[in-house]
Amino acid sequence: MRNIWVIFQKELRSYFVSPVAYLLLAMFAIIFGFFFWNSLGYFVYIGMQSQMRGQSMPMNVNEELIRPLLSNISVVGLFLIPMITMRLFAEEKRTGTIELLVTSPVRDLEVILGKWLAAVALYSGMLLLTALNFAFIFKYGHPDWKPLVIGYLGLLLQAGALLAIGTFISTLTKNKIIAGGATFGVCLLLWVLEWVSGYETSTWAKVLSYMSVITHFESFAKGLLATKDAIYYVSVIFLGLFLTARSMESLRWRS
Amino acid sequence: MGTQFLKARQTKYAAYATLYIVVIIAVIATANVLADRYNKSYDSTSNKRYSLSDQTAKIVKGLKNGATITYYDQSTHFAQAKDQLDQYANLSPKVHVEYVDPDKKPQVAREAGIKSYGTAIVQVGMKKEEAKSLNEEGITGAFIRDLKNTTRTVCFVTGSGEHQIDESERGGYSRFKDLLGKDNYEAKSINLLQKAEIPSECTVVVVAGPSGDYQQPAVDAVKKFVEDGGRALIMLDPPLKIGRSEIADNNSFEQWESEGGKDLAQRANAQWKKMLAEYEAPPIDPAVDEALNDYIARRKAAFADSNV
Repeated sequence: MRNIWVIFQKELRSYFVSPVAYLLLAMFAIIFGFFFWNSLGYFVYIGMQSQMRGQSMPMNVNEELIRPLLSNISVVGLFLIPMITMRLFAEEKRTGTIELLVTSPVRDLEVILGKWLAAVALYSGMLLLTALNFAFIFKYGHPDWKPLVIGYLGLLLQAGALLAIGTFISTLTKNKIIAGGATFGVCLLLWVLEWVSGYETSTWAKVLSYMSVITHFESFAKGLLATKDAIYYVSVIFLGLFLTARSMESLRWRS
Repeated sequence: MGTQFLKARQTKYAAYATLYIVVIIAVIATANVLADRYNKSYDSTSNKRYSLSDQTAKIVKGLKNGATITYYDQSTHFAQAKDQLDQYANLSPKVHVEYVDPDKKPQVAREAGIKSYGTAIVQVGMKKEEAKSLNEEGITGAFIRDLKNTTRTVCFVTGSGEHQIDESERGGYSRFKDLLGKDNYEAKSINLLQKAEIPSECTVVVVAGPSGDYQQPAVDAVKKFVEDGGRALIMLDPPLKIGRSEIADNNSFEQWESEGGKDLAQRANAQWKKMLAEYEAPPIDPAVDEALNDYIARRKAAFADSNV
């Protein structure tokens, strides 16, 4: 446990000694800030229109503002997650420090968990920035806070799953760009697999749709905590980290 | 060479790692299949927006046979039904939800008798019912109709100026009929003037705001029905007529003048004449008609005509 903590700290620090973390945090805040401003403006416009038409039906802040915004956060995350994970192991391989890492008296699992948790922590920091925007909604409106918490849990689980995949891909190459590009490709594929359910209802389409990371986020965005969706994300996290461990292990017997 | 390759350390490790990965993927896949089948969810919204009512949960969880909800719509619209229909599948592993695009599978849609997009059919065992709407009310209603063998009928009495279930104008009860239909009651009209007897299929008799008195045979029929254990809902309209008078004229002064400048008394006079001219005698039981005429004759004979 202590080793995980040490690796976690080292990894997190390495994000912040380079411009990577600052750049990611700034980009995430700017992009999401634009989404927030745009959605809020539209929400207010629709609200005023319905008031002018004399409609007395109250608008639901959670349903019409927070839910689509949470989906937007996950889209932005899709583009930034490869940048977080691409250097995790590829950098170690490029500089040769991976040899030290696999021969040091630290278990592979501790190394993997330490690095993955650092990536998750950086992403959580990015999510915290988005929470600042939502704080304004609480200041001027009365949204339901529980669905928002569930939505954030979903975002964390989804990011955890994609980060685990990115961590694994990072062990396969010493080139950061390749690691980042491949991670983006795989994550994007896992994203769009859901599209088949839009026009196909066969079993294969259901399986592909189930494998999509976005299918399982829908319930979280609504404020529903569904066991199948949580288990899916935990499964992908486990599989990603398990494959990372096998990949690390193979470094020994392949040499 | 081949044997050496098979005995090589790398080959052994690779085989071991592959097998290990395959086993883990199989375990994960099984866990997800089970999780999908036996899903449980917690609705954190304050108004339980994504939860079905206790009544629906009781019905769906108590299903003894498998049930299928088939939703027919263009595939691009499947998503709008998913929010609602998947909640039923989450309640019980016995409920399956299928989505069919009639444009892609016209044969399937034709066999199911689908006439419009956005239709949901609930099948329990061999019984099939169409959901009257895509909300909980409509879908659970279809489940109830599937599970119930008998239909319940609400009989609306007519003949004494009651509100009519086939009228959709102001004062008409067509919306009431639709709502009853959603709750799986069949609504029909019965005329107690034609036959002073409540049909046996009536579960409830509704006397909806009559504008005239009931004849004794009709009163006796309702009384007998209630005394025999039937249910009756008797509603009376407020005695004051609320709203704009039928003889009031709210047109412009010029129009009123061009139409003859009639005052209230003149318009009222024209109105009763028109009503009398348009009057058609309703169908009436000859015995009741005879009794009425007899009553009129007796009452007329009892008092001399007088203007005082």
